[in-house]
Amino acid sequence: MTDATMPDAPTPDGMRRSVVYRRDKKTKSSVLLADKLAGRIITIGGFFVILTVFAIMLFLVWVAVPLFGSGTASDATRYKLDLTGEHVISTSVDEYRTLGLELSQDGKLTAFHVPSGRRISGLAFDFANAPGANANANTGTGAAAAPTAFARTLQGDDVAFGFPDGTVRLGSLAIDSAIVPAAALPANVTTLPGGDRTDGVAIYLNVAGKQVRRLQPAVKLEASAQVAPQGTPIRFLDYRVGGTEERPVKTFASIDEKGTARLSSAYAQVNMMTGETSTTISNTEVPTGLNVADIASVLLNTSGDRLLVATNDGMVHRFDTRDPAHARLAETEQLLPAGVKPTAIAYLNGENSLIVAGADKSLSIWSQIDRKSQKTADGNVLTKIHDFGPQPAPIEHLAVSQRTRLFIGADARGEVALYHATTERRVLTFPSGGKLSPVATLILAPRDNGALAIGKDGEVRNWSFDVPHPETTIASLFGKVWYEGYPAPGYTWQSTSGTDSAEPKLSLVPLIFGTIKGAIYSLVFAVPIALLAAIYTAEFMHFRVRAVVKPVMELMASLPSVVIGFVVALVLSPIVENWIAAIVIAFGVIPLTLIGLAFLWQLLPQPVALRLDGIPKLIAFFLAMVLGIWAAMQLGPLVERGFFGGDFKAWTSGSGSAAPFIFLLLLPLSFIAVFSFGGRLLGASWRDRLRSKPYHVAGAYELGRWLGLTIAAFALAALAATILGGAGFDARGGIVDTYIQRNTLIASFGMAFAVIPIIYSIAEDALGAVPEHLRSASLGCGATKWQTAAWVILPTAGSGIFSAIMIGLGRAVGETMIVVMATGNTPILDWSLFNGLRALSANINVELPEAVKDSSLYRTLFLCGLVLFVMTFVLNTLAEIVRQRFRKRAAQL
Amino acid sequence: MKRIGTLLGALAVSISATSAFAIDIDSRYTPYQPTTGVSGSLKSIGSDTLNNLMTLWSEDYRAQYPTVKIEVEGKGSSTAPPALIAGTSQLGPMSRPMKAAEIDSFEQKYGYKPTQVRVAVDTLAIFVHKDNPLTCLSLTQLDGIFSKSRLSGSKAITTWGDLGLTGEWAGKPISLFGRNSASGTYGYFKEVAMVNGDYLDTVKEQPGSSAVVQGVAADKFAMGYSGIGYRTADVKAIQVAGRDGQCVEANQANAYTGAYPITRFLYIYVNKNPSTALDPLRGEFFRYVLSLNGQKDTSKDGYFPMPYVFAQQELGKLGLK
Repeated sequence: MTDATMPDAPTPDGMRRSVVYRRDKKTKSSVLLADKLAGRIITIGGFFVILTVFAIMLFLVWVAVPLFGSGTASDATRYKLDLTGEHVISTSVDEYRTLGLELSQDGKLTAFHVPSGRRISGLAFDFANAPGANANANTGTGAAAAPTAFARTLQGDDVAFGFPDGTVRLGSLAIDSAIVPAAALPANVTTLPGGDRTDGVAIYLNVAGKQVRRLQPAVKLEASAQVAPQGTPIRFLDYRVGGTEERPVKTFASIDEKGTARLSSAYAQVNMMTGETSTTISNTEVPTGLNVADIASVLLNTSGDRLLVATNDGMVHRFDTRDPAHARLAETEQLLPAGVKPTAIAYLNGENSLIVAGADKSLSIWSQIDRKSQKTADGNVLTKIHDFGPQPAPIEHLAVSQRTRLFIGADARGEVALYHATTERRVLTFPSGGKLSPVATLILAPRDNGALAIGKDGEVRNWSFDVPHPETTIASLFGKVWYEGYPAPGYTWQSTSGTDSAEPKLSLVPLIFGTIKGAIYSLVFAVPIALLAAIYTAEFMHFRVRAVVKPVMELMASLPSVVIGFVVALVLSPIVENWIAAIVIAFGVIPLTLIGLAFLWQLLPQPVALRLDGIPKLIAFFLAMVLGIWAAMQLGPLVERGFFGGDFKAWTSGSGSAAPFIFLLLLPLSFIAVFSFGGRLLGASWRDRLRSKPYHVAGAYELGRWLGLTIAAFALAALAATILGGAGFDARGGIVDTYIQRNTLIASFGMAFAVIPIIYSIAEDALGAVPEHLRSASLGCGATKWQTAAWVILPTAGSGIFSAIMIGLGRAVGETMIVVMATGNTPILDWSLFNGLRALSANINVELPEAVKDSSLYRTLFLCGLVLFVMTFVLNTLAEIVRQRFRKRAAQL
Repeated sequence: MKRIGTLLGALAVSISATSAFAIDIDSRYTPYQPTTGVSGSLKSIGSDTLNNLMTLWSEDYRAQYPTVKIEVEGKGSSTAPPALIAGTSQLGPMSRPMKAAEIDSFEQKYGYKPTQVRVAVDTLAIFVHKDNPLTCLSLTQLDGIFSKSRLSGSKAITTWGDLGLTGEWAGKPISLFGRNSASGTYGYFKEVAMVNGDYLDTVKEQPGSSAVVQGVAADKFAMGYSGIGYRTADVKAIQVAGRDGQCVEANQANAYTGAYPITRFLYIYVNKNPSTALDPLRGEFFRYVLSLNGQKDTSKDGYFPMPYVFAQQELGKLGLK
């Protein structure tokens, strides 16, 4: 700009020149300023882009990192309750950890303020005097015999007592919570340490607004039921309440003095029309054949179909009580080394796993697994799925969480620790804050935020703890985990369910696998089509056609992926399912038809061929394509009948011979082998002979050669497939398996539709950017268009084409809606083209709306985002490095 | 996608409305009596099972009070608690009761627990293609079909032949459709039919009930579950046998007696301070839902009306009686 040339020749008339043409040779300061400003703005903009990307990554890391924290526990608050002369059998605490209840064997309840240990007046189960009391109970004097057995449900609200006279009484022991206006507070309240108030009967907590929460213990005792014969004491008892809120099922198991086990259940059914409840009670005997002195404990599950009896020699006897009238011994399993006494046994939340602690200081988790075993009556075997290794001392008391797979154990010395079953770790040891003393009862607070241990001397230790994400560790997210009920350790994603009792399974491996699987298969379809299309448009197509084709292809990219997904899932998938055999062979038939037409085209006399170049040729190819599709549709059923036993889908599930599909897979390889060999064998001499023939005659020779080589390729593939099939190779179980309507093939079609325009567009631009002189030089030296494209243009544009593929891959990895709609989102780990997948991005889309903020699932979904981010970051960085190398080479041209 | 779902849903409604099954509404229900002073806007976020019904209710409610605005969004029951807690919605329709952890986080913010209102009865239906000859399945068979844990002790069932079908059906694998895990239906089915076992990895998770029905309608060898309200003419709801082995049809009488084993209530959760009355906007909405008009909408959408006794209990809970 600064040395602008003068249009006119210099004239002697300096005046005129200076008036009309005089220009400052210095750049104007405004231009310089604008230049500088633009430079700065672009720099700042670029800096912000990088900053934003890092900020996003930092945010993802920020949210995901707490998943790997272990949590903290407070020091123990210690105080002593005067429990002289009482045999404490159970403890309860409300969900606010404010009111504690001690139940002693005679039915007396001690209520106390948990933070301070201050006692408030207690209640008692009045075993002597209750409606419908057994006639034999000593009602007159008001003093009934103390219970000989006791059980409570996991939630702790329901209790059962067994008596020496063979009766059982069910009851409930609840801490009622209600919000009342502050004005309704009784007059005689006293303030407890910490600000809570009590009137001696209930505890009042301050909550937001002018209201208080009242916590009050409540007991209820039902009429006694004669379970064992008159006068036979009940020795062991277990009690469960299941069913739904509308239809509770109460089940209890009892073992009497003589060793007879019984299963009793009360099944309530509510008629919604009238609101009436009818209760059906059943009572059946389970023959155990065990001596009562050998029995350590009895455990029942909520549905009442499984009864476990543990004995003092470390054995457990499992009874199948699905059909109560025909209860049978299903299995006898040695849980601990022979002769080792179990010190504590309890079900984990969900009742599918058993915590077993032994006198040999062992602690392990057992689950019932379907092993199709001959040794047990139902094929299921109790199997050790987690082992915590030797503990410092034998665990004597266990308390389990009502929501998660956490549990606490107190050992013989009185040390209390928190464990997590799924991740198989001792999460933390509670600081004792003084001398250890043996524990009488132990409770884990309902919200998994505190623990209470009552010593045999009445010493109470109260801890609060915060372990927000016990179920996630690096090992559980990325490694194999043995989940309860599963035949072997594995990678599973099954994050939530409608209830708290399910074990969350958060393995990212199936999701990462699904992402990679979807991306690879969609690129397998997209890359050849997109690249060949780009080469054809850039190098062969008539410029007028090109002017139409390119914008149309780019229009394809603007289709929203949700639309593609919807069409693919609801329209394409049933069609593909009906025509699956035709579609599989179409991968061979359509290219063959097109190549065949290309050879036929060569038969045309040269002037005709030249005249029909351009639009007519394109139309001819289009017709050939239609012909190919039609041929595939005609051949599909024939091939299906001839080679796949008449039903391709049934074949994918495992019927019929493996060879035909191997043949199809080998066909492209066989073509490459035959044509490269045939090209060498019939190379120079063949071309010399062709040169002497007229154009269309040479075309006929070429057609003949192509047909011959194609038949040879088919024969080679068939031979190889027969040999491989005979040797036991089978694609089924590998890249094909049982056909499912929504599958990876369908999703790949959809994804290819989204990816092709991107790869095509960038690759075409890259090819177009190759300097024209290279093309001219190559053509000028006598190379054909194809030779020029394949050996000159393509290598030069390599870097651009590589980045086109990489950007396509990035799009396929991050694609969400097509995968969500077309695949069925099944988190499976196999390469089959005919079943689904669950990608990281789809998983985030499906599950984020339901995730409670800051829950483990919420953070795991952010971790999914981080993994996706890292995957694309690594991919793009690699792509850039390779591209730079390519470009350097191309720049030397 | 939501819009497409709604579109399909609307289609489903129109079809199920034409093939209406006789549903009795308790004669003790009285028509809704509008009052004055009701205005403002409401937002409902939650269950997809209840999505169409919420839309019906809110349209008819708005017909009573033209100044009221109601927005309904239904992606799954699990989306209801976070929205109620954050205050982005005033109504939380759910097809399962809230989990303890969800109640906790609500209570942490407000100091009291959310109020659960039962608004309709649903029989979770097992759908097969309309040409499928199958008539009845037991809960144990369902466990064998959908579960990989099979905690009820069933054998694995993978083909229609395993269920006793013959001919072209015998060798065909069962193609399974289900809901995504945000759904209360997903959780309820897991709890009742699968004894809390895990779903097979091959169950295709669909974002909405209508997508499940659509999937089953388009795939001859498919089976899926969803609320009965989404039944269309292209699918068949088969009978289910409970503990006693009796095949029971998913109809009103069996829902009320509890004979149909996978019967449940549908809920709307609401943030109600226990010591103050509900504002008229939400109060009148519930009064509408639990009136003759509201329960007619319920049966129009294919669900079963609330038993009168229970409806009165719910109104009492809300302090509206």
